[in-house]
Amino acid sequence: MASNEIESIADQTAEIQRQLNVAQIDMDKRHQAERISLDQRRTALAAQLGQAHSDHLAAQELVLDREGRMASSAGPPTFGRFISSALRGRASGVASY
Amino acid sequence: MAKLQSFPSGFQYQEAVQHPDRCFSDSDLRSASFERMTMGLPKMISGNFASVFPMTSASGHKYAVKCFTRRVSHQMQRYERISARLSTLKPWWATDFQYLPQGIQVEASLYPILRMNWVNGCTPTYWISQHTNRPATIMKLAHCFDEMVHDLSNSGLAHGDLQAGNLLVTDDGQLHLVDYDGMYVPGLDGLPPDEVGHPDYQPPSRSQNDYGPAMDRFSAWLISLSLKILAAAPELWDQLNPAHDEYLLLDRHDFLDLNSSSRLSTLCSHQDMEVRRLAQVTRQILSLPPAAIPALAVPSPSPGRTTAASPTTAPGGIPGWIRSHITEHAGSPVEPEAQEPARHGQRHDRWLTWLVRVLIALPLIAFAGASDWRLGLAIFFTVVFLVTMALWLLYRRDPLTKGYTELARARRKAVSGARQISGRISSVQREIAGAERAEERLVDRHTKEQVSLTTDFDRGGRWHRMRSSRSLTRPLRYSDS
Repeated sequence: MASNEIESIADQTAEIQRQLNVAQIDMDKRHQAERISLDQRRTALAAQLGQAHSDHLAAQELVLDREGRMASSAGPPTFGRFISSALRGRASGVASY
Repeated sequence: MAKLQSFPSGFQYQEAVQHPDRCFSDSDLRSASFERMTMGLPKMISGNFASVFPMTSASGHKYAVKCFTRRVSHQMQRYERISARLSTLKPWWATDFQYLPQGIQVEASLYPILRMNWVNGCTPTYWISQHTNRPATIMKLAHCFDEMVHDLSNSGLAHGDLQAGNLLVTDDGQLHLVDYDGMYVPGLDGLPPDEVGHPDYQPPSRSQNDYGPAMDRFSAWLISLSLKILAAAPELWDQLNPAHDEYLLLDRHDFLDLNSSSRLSTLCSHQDMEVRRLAQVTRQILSLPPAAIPALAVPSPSPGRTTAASPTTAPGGIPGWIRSHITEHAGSPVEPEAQEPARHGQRHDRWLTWLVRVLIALPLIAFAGASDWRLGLAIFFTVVFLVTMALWLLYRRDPLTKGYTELARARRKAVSGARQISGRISSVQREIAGAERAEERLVDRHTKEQVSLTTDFDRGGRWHRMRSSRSLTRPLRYSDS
């Protein structure tokens, strides 16, 4: 009778072990799925960040370009300078205007 | 058959190469002579995976014979595909080569070799040391490099180990790219090489998983920006690389922590505005995750070439490379209008000058024509007001004013766009930080679940052991009684 009981307990232990293994595998699968979805999100965000940085560089360069062009002119064309250059003759005024 | 498990050392190859007629299978190499070192032994250039021997054939053709000292995965397959692709494309920067699977015999075994055409040139580090007094030439080299990277990228190729040691500058300032061991060509996906590039030119996280057409971006930006910085301030070469080592201006230690990099700080605080600007771009690019690094900005051929000669800034105050970079996407809707006033102004010079003069004279004429001085004064101010209005209109409608206003508006728009993108970057960075926190929580939860499951198992085990021990003691009692 004792050996029967031992066998039954061993069977139960094996069964529990099997159930635990199944649970472990299920849990691993679930964890992996969760990780994959998070990894995908991070990859997408990294790509977005890259694109944003690229756009930012382009925008900064655009600003520099516009500032450079503005700096290359003698200054903002004021009303006074317009009148003065027009009175002096437009051709000579263009350069300084 | 070749013994492919272990490869001879450089010295074993050196010994074999002393007898080209016996060791080489290729007829051209059998009759070739080797360059000698002082001891009379064949000259050998040793690398990480191979040793290279300069050889000259009987017809005077010079080769570099590469003998492998380590096994390289899928070597033959890789070289066949690379060779096929390069033969089709025939890029200007490439060197002809031939992979010979049983090219050399060393101690009764055959080993593969790579027979490459010899390129007369020097590495960029040596070349820069010789050209620090010629910044315009350094800028030309930078543009040549940009074009090479553009060509690689356009062809769907990536070198995998862009670094000073794999670039050769010829006497005419042209660049050649050598060592295609780690190259990516379409069709080689999933067959990464064993190497991940020189650490002074690669992101710290570079791994074989990065193998693909975008793997050169980090090193391409690094080399391009370094050359442009050197063109703007050549004295930085001796300051930041006094031993003229293999790196250019920044090395692997700087990449580990850009914020505490003394070299990058030197660049960012340099007195030259151009250097500071380029250093900022360098910081921005190198701090990006490798997958997020954009492709290298490439100068458009003709204007780029024209401005390339200028090491500092183009007349408009914009460095040539940036100007050329923005021509593609930024366009210049304002530029024709901004130039138009000059032509327009010349055309209307005469009439505008006279119109303004007449308008200004009008109040005086009106005042002079009035019989009563009070009436004259009233007419004078009225006419002054009207003339001012007319002049103001002329001023506002002037092409030069319109061009400048448009330019100012475009600048404001660009600034606002840059701000918006900064906001977007911050928002994405916050999201990334959130994702990182979520990942930490997830890992934490997974660990707890794992521990909990193990604990359950332990409890189950203890319970069964307890049950089992009880069941064992019971029969003993029966027998005792």
